[in-house]
Amino acid sequence: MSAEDAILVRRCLKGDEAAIQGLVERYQSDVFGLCMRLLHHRQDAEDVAQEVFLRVFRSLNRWDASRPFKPWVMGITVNRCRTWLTQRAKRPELVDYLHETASTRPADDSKELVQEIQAALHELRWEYRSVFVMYHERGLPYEDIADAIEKPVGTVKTWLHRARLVVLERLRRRGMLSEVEHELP
Amino acid sequence: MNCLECQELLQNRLDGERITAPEALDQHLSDCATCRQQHAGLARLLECAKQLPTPKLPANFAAQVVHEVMRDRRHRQDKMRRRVFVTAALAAGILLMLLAAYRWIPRDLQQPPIVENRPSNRIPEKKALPTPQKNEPKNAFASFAERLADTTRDHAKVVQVAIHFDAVEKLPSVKEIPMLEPGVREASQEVTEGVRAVTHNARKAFDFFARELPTPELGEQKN
Repeated sequence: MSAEDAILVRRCLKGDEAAIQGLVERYQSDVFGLCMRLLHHRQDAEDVAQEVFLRVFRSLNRWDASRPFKPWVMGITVNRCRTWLTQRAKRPELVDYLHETASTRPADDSKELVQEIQAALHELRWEYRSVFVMYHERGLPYEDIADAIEKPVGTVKTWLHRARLVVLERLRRRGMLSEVEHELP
Repeated sequence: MNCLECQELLQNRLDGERITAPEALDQHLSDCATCRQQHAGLARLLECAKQLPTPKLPANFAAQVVHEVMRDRRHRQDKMRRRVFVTAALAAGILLMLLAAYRWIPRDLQQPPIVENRPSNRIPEKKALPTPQKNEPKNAFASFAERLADTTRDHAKVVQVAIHFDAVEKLPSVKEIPMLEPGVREASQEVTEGVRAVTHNARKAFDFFARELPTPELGEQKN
């Protein structure tokens, strides 16, 4: 955990609104991005991200300061998304599905491949998807992911490898990687 | 090196970790087309994964969240305050009820039930002497009653004498002395009003004594 996080948390506990704003701005991208990728629905992602922050600030005094802050927040996010998905499965299907608005557009030659990866991600098992997104999109190291989902690092590695293989298999089936040739490093 | 070992090393290499036997891995990749294709595919996949679009945040998201967080905090604080107030009020209510019960429940209900006297060989225990606090109001009440009886007796004597006093009929009535009439009436009115307040207060005091004083025990009543 960085010293800046520690200071912000301490100020938040004292009810400093500016510190709350600072902490939200620091993690909003990670939280919303993960929600968006896991829920595949913009409005739901907004709602869940807001709920995640509410929970974070409600339980800020219960947070173990010896642990890093980001995995803790990501863990809450993953759990809230899972709960939301469970609840959503019981409700009638929503029609408004994924309005992906990219702030950074991929290069033209790989645009189709990127879209295909996104589609493949939504077919992944929940655990594989969350690990894949946290590692590749949010850039969390294995240890932090393990901390967030409360699993051993070995399990995280295995899930990530399987996730990659499933996505790869789909890309191959769709003929996206047939021409790829190996180049030795 | 077999394909299983190769996959593990491949994953480490893709994650940017240092691998133990890079030459052996490269040798296996040049020999095994399946592993080679998988490695190439995964490398391409990871390259594209870096280009996955970052979901755009909603406008004013942070401000909305902060607003919600602050509102939630206020709401929770109010809730906590209300809970503390209700708890304190309940505690105070219970305390008042207990005090009231202690103050107004008749003392004989608080005493243990009287056990019938059965013949036994045991030596009867001596009754504990009443405590000074318990005796004090009893004595006061007794002397008050005695004094009241004496006064009433004296008053009765005076009334009896007055009934048989012949000169009363000869006394002029107030109407016959017009000069005195308003003064006497006013005086009698004042006396009546004054006496009424005194009797009212005396009745209240008497009621209070009668209610508050412990009921005399059976043995004492007989005495």
